[in-house]
Amino acid sequence: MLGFLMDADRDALARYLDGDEKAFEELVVRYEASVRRVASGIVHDHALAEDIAQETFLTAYEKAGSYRGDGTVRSWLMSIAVRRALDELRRRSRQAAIPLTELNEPTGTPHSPLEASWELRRALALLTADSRAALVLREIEGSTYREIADALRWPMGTVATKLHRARMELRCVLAETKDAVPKN
Amino acid sequence: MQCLKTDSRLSAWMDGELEPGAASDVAAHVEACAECADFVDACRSVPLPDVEPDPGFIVRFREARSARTSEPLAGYLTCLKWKKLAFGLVPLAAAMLVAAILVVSSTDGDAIQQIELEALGDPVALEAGAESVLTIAIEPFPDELP
Repeated sequence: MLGFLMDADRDALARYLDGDEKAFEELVVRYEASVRRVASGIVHDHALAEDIAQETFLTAYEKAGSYRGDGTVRSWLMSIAVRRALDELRRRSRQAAIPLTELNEPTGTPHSPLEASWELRRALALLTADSRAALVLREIEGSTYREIADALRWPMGTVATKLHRARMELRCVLAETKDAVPKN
Repeated sequence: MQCLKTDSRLSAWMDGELEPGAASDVAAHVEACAECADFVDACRSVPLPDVEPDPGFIVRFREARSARTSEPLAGYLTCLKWKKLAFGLVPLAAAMLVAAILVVSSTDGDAIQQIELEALGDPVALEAGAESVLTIAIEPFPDELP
């Protein structure tokens, strides 16, 4: 299935480069949720994640010729999204801390998936942007270490170290959050 | 093996990124170490947030793409493409011009040189040459044009 998608992606990109405008839209439809997911996981702001995702596809649309073909089209898109998201955070000087007030408290019942998601988002917000990016790419997108290294421009050996540290931090923060948030 | 809770090999193993030999070592350790097993369970049970596909995204993308391509910059880029094409033809045109000049100048040079040689060496030949040129010059036009 993945192999088929990889071929389909390359085929769509090749057709677009040959002048078929609609071929690029196949990639947009296929990966818009993934790109928004990654962007949202890094910046923790749905509106900003939407802007980043749009910019990601516009950049890919304009610079499709720069795709060298040494990775998958998907990881190429992800790397554009991750860099844009990290740039945006740096530009807004929000890398160190995302205001937790931006994460609206859920109205669902305790221990619901909604609450779990909120706790997790709150915990993720306390990690550094790089750690969040690595974790989101790995856990949500299932990216390989090679893809993460490419997207974040890290050496391969750094990926395991940073991911492990991020997981330990996340686990600590989640444990603290569970202790701190009173249950109804 | 020491506890791997703080060792990145544990994450690499969870992610299937270890070589088979190292992976079986870590797997054996996780089975024996309660702390590592807890860590692995905790990591695997984290429900990371998901994002649903949005059918409106492609519509917004088309709008953003149209807005961007209709900007003045796009017109400039189109113009730039034509300029690039025109600039691409400049070397060809220059080469053709140089070739033409060379052909003309070499032909003229030969003729002048020939006349000079003839003038210096053989006045009779020069006279004959001049006469033939004069004959051509005063030859009347044909009655019927082809």
